Amino acid sequence: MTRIVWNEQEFDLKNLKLEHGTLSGTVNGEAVSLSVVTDENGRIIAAGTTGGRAVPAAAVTDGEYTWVQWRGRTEKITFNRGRDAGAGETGGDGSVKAPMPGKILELMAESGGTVEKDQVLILMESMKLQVEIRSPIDGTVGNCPVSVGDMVDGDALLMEIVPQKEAAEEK
Amino acid sequence: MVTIKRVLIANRGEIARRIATALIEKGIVPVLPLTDKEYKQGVSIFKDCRIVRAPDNIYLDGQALVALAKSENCQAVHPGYGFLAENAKFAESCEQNGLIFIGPPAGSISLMGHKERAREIAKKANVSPVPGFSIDGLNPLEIKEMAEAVGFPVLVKASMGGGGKGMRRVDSPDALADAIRMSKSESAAYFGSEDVFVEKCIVKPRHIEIQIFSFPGGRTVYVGERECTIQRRHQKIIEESPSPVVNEKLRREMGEAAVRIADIVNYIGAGTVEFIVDENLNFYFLEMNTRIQVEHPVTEEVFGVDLVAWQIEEALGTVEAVPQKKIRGAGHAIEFRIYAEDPDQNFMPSPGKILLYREPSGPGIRVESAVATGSEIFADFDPMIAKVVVKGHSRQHALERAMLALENFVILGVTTNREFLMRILSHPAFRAGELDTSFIDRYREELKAADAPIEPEWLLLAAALRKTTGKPAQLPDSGDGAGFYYPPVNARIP
Repeated sequence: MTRIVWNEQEFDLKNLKLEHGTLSGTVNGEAVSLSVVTDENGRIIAAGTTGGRAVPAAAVTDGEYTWVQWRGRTEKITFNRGRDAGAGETGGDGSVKAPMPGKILELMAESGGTVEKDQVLILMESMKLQVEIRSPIDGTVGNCPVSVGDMVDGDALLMEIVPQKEAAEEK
Repeated sequence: MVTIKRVLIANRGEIARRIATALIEKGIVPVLPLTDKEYKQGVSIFKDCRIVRAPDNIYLDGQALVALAKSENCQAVHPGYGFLAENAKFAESCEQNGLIFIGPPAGSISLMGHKERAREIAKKANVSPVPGFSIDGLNPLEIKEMAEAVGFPVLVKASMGGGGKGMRRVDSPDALADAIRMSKSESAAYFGSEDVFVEKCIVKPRHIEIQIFSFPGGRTVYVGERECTIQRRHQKIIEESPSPVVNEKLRREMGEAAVRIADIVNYIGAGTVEFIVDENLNFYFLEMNTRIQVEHPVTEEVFGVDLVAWQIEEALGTVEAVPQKKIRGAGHAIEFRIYAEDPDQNFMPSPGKILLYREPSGPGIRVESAVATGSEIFADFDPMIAKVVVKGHSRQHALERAMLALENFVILGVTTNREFLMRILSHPAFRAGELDTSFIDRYREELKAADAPIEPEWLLLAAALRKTTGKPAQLPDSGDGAGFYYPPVNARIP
C-alpha cells in the first residue's frame, strides 16, 4: 500500500501494476486503469487519451514530493515517508516508527515472526483514533522495544523489520 | 562605420540571452555581468559569452556598468529592457565615456520618460493623448473642476511611473483627494518624484502598441501593432500581432501617428508607441517606450525582421533603411509570458528551484528563456521564466499551436501561470478576440483552476511516475565560490 496525500486529502493506493501498456491499481478501494506510453527504458512518458491521443506526462521527485504535469494540470503530491516503495529513497529500511504520539494497544507480530509488506504489525491509539501500523517491507520481526500499554512519542521506533533479500518488489 | 568588438549587456535573464545571440551572430563578443548567485546557473546558459562576476546590485548601478564596460574594452552597451534601459543619465554617462549606448539618444529618452512632457509631444504630433491634465500648481478645487470636465471615472497616475505603480482609479470627485495623496507617496517611493496627473479612464480599453524603428537620417518606419490587452496587475502576459480589431486603415493611422511622434524627438532605433483604444476604435496616445520591448518577438515573427539585429547594426552604422512599403506582415503571432507566480494567490511570485524544465519545440514555436533544469527563480528579480511565441498562418492556427506549446512546456518545482494561460487560451471571449484590459478581472471565476477533486487516474499515474523518475538534477558545482567583483572567470577571449 502507498499512502498519497494531495491537497490535504489522503488516498490509499494498492496493487500498482503496469502490464501491456496499461497501468492499473486500486485507489481508495476503487479499481482504476489507464493506458500509458513508455519509452525504451520503461519510463512512462505519456498517458490517457484526449480525443484519441496520449497526453505527455512529466514528473520529478524531490524527497517525499513528486511533481507531476499531465493533462493541463500540475500537482505536487506527497508520498508518505517510509510507506512508499518508490524513488528508492526508503531502500530496505525496515524501521517502523510511530506516525504520531500515542498508546500501544496491541502488538500483532512477534519477534522472529515472518511478516509481509502492508501486514498490520501494531495497533496504536492516538487522539481517540485507532491507527494500524503496517510493515513497510517483507521480512522478519527483529527488535521490538515497546510493549502493550506504552505511551510513545511521534517518530519513536516501534519495531525493526529485517528485510528478506529476495522479497524486494522493486526490480 | 565604427568598430565594435565587444558589447556589455547591462541586463540579465532571457533578454540578455536574446541580445547575446544577436551579437554573436555578428561576430561581436557579448560581455555579461553575472551576480554571484546567478553565476552557477548562468555559466552554462551564457557559456558563449565573456562572463564577469558582479555584485548583486549591478544591473541598477550605472557607474559600475560603465566602469565594467571600460575595463572590459567594450565599445558599446546594450541595456535590454527594464533596469537602466530608459534611464537618460545612464545613456548620457555611456556617451560621455565614449561608449555607444544601443538605444535612442539620451535626449529622446528623457523627453519621453516624463509622461506629461510626452503627452505634449504627442499633441504637437497631432496625436491625441487620453484627455487629462497635470495637477502641478493647481489647488484642490481646480483639480476637482478639471477632473469633472474630463469626466469620471478618472485615473490618477505618476508622471514618472510605469507598470501600474502609483496609479489609482477614481470613480467620484469625493475620492479624488485621497487618491492623489496615495499616488504621490507611491510615486515618490518608486520613482523619486511626486509629480502626478489625472486622466480620463477609458472604459473597456484595449492596449495596442506600434513598433517603430528609426533608421539614421530620420527615416522612421512602423512595424505593425501588438495587442497587449491581456494584463494582470497592469502588466502584460499575452501579446499578439496583428490585433484582432485593427484593420489596414487603422494600422496606417496609428502607425503614422507613432512615426510622427518619433520624428519630433529625433528618435533613433527601436521604440514602441503605446495607445489606448476604446470600444469605438478611437486611439489615444499613452506613452512611448524608448527601448526594445519584452514582446518584440511577436513583431519579428509576423514581419520577418530582427529588431535586435537592427539595433546592433544601427550602432555599427551598417543598418540599411527599409522603406515603409517593404514592411509587410504575414500570419499571426502570440506571445505568452510564463511566470513563477500563483494565479490563485493574486499572481504572487512563487520563486524557487526548477526541478524539471523542458521547452516545447516544433513548427511555429519559439521560446525565449535563460533557465534550465536546476535553475532558481530568484525572489529579487522579475519572476518571468520564459516567453513562448507561437506563429500560425491565422489567429486560429496560432491559437492551436499555442495550446500544444503550452501543454508540452514542462516546468516542475515552482508554481507557474502556465495552466492559467491555457485557461485564458480556451476562454470563448479570448478565442473570439473580445478583449479589454479588465479581461482577467472580469472572468476571474471562469479562469480559476477547476475546484474538481483529483481523478484517481491522476494519482495512479503519479505513483507510477514516482517509481520511474529520479531525483531532481543537480547543477554541476562551478567550484568557484569566490565573491570578488569582476575577476575574470572564464577563459579570456582575445
